Amino acid sequence: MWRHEDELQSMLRDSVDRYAVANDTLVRFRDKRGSADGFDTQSWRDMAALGWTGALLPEEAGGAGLDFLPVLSLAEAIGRNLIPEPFVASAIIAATVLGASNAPAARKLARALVAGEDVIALADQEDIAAIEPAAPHTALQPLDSGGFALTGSKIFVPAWTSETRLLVSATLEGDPVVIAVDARAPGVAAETHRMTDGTICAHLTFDKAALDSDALILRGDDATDAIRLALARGTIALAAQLEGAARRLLSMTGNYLNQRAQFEKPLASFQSVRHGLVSQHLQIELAGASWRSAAASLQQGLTGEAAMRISAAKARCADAAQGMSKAAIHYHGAFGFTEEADIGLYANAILRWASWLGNADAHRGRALNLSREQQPTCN
Amino acid sequence: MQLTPPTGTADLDVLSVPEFRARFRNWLEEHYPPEWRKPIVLRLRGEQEKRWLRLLDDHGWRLPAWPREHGGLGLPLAKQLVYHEELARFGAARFLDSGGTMLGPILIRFGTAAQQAKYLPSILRGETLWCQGYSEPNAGSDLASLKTIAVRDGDHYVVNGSKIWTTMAMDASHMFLLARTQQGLRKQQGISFFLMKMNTPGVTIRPIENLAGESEFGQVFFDDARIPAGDLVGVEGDGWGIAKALLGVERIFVGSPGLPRDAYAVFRQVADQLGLNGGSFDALNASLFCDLNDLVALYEMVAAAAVAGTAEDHDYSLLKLAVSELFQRISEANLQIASDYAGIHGPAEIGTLKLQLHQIYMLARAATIYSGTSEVQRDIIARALLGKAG
Repeated sequence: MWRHEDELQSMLRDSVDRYAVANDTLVRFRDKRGSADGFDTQSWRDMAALGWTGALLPEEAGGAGLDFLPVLSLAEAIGRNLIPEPFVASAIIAATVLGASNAPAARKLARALVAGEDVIALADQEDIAAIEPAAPHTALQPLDSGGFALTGSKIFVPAWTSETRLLVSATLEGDPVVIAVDARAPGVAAETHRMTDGTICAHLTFDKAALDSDALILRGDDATDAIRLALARGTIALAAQLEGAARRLLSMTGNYLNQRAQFEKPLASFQSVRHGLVSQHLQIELAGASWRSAAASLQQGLTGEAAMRISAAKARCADAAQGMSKAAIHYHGAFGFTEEADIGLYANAILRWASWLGNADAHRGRALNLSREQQPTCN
Repeated sequence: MQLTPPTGTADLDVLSVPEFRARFRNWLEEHYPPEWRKPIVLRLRGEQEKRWLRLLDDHGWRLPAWPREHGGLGLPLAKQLVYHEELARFGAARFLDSGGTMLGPILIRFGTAAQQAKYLPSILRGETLWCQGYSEPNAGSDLASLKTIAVRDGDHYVVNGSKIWTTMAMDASHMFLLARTQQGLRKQQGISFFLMKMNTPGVTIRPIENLAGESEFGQVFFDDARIPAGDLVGVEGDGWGIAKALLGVERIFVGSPGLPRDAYAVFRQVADQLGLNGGSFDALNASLFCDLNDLVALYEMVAAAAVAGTAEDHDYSLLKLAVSELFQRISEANLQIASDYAGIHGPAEIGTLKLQLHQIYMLARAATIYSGTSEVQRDIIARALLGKAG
């Protein structure tokens, strides 16, 4: 076993595994995927109590101030156990943006995130298939009465509920900014879509939505850097989640093949089946190595090399997980094709995670472009 | 006999891993024969290999894995890995060194003091070159089904049979081989491990030309060839266990990403010379680039686990499988993007470069066959994933 974890990492992983067993997570996932939010706000508060939602937030903001690397053990285990609450969207991406701001509004939201009282989402993307942070058309207009009017639109805003708090990227007098927006504010319209992992995404339109001036939490390079880091971290966390899900599917499929007998032999004894599963395993091992290598690289800063490795990792993890979910359906035979089989829950969640924050093709292309300055090395 | 460690080995201990890397890299820069550098199709053989092994020994760089009391560098695995990585990164020609990497560790572990004194120093100095006599006609991956027999006759064993796919058979001065000394047992039993001079009467060698245009391997025939009983290693009948004992952490080296990395460098050269970019070429390039990136990541993780002592046999199998298949994929992509040049036999002159596209492609064919075929590796991994095949 080459996967190494230190004490903190195994403690975090254990905490997710115990939670998943205690809450019968697959039953819960099946239950929640058709519900209004696609997840459960009480469970979100439970996870907050376990320290997951504030894991990455700095201590000044009430968080645990953990390094990013151990927090990825949470993401991996959340993917493996198919926990529907918006960990990556809120506890990684939004938390990273909030952590970069000392503004009182940001601190207030951070505390609410730590307590699990709010779900917070970054609304940045404006174009389909975008990987890089948006150069926003969404703009803030200063009002004579004080405060701002927000106009523009955002697409595929994750973790949508009627009460989700938004961190919206926009421009103000030519500067990039991030501003906190209450989704219920007048002038905010949402068109919602149910995603295959059960959660809701919203396409948002802001029509002169009126905002207080203290809602502005980041401006200038601070805003740009925070969003870049948030998306980089979110992409690795999603990759880890995909790898976790793929590994669980591999072990579920292995168990099933060992239990089922045909032609008087366990299915797991047929060489074609065994070798087919090894091919999936190889992709999953590459996926696990790839996101860990990307995370190690990001620890040295968000360099071109780190960005390249992050893209390679997202591409590999997405393809490995999607490959494994197709294999899982196939190797479960007709039962695998039923709604009743749990592997379908994974196959569906994986579709969403694989396409979110840039799909495999897009990330491979980006990795190549970034590599024109880099060569893979072997240190 | 105790050998004096090469000068400077104690020195190597005080160096950190990066310092060690820098020292070896500097030495290569200064001393590596330029005519052997870069072409990935080159593997040193015969007099070239002897010259290279001697050069390493002269400068105190010979045999990172051998313990110091036997004249090696006695490096910890982390530094051994760096040693091999630096050779690959520098573009040093490949070399087999079966004596140093395969036989040496076996003699150190299972050989008598007399055998060690007789054979180890000349291996260190590169004065003897060894080939491995395991594979036999009709045995394939089922090594233990070997049929070569050795019958005791006074103070000799008389050997009859044949070995095949023996790499460097034409260049070697000696062979270490497995032969059956007792019949009628389980096939892994009754096999013994011998050392033999290639010029022993009754030994004939037939070179076999391979698809890469080389005669690196051959078939060796034994016709009442006599081996002194003193050249039996270990106890008679223990040969299978002795041969298998080596298949541990050393397997990490078979999983090194050197060949696919070099082949990908050629891919980029072809693309540059032909001015390829955009569209389907970019998609192919991106996919190979990511394959290589992720393979290197996996290699580094498994290597770190090997150093920590937590890597398992199936991890090495997985690396070997991944490396050999990626080497093939890239070698095929090279031909695909080279379009008409792909049909050229021998080096292809593309733009300002001479590229060995055909030879690399053919060289890569062997990668999924040697050191355990891909199917054997998949069987090993599947056992870890799914339990026995039943």
